[in-house]
Amino acid sequence: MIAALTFWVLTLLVFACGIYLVFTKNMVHAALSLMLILLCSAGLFLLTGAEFIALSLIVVYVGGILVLLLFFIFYLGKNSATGEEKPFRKQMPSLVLMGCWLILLCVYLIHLFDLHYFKLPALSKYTQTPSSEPNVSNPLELGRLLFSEYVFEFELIGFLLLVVLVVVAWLSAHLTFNKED
Amino acid sequence: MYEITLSHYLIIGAFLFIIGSLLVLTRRNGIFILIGLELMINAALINFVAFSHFDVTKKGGEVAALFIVVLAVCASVVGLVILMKVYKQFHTIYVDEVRQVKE
Repeated sequence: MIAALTFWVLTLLVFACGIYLVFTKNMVHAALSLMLILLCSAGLFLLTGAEFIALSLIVVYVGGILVLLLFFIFYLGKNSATGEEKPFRKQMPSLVLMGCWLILLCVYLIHLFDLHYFKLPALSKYTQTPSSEPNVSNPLELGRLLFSEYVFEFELIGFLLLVVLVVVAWLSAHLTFNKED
Repeated sequence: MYEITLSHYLIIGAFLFIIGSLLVLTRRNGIFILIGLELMINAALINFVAFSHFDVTKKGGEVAALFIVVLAVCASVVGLVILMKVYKQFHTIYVDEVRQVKE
C-alpha cells in the first residue's frame, strides 16, 4: 500500500518534470528538473529493490554530471543563460520525423496496456509479480555477478573509462574548429 | 491500482524516451540536447532495472544498468567538452549557428 502510494507520487513527479522540461527556456530550471527526474528514478529503483543502482545513480549523475552541467551553465554567463529560442530554418524534416516517432511510441503505449490485460506470449518469461528472494542482499549478489560471470565486461568498461579520460584530456587541449570568417 | 506491474515501469520509460527525443529533435541549444540524451539513457536504465526485477531467473539486468551508467557518464562528459570548445571558438551554444566544423 505504502509502496504503491510512493510509486504513484514518484511517477507523477517524473511526468510533471518531463512536461516542464519540454516547455521551459531556462537552462538552470531544466538542469534542476533533470535532477528531480533522476532522484525520482532513483526512488523507483529503491522500490524495485535495486539499491546499489539507485545509490550509484545519485552519486554519479546528481553528484557528478549535474554539477558539471550546472558549472557549464554558470560559466556561460547571464546573457546566454536565457537565450532566445529562434525557430529552425529547416525544421520540416525534423518535425515529420518527430511526428512519426510520437505516433509509434503512442502505439507502443497502447500495446503495453493491452499486454497488461491480455498477457501476450512474448513476455511470458517475465512474471507480473516480482519474485526476488529477500534473504540475499542486492549489492552482495551484484558484486558476486560482477566478479564472476561479467568480469570481462567489467574490465572492458574500466578500459573504456581510461580511454575516455585520455580522449577528454586531449580534446580539451587540442580540439580546434576552422572558423569561416 | 495497488499492484505495480512491469507495464507501469515500461510506460514511465517510454514517457521519458518521448521527452528526451522531443528535446533532441526540437531544441537548438546544446545544453538541452545533452539533457535530452541523458533522459533517453535514463529511460533505458529504467527498462533494464524493471526487467531485471520482474525476471524470474537472474539479476543480469542490474549489471547492464551499472554499465549503462558508466557509458552515460562517458557520453555526457565528451559532449560537454566539445560544447565548451565550441562556445570558446564560436561564442554560441546554438548548434545550428556552427557552420563549418572541419579540422
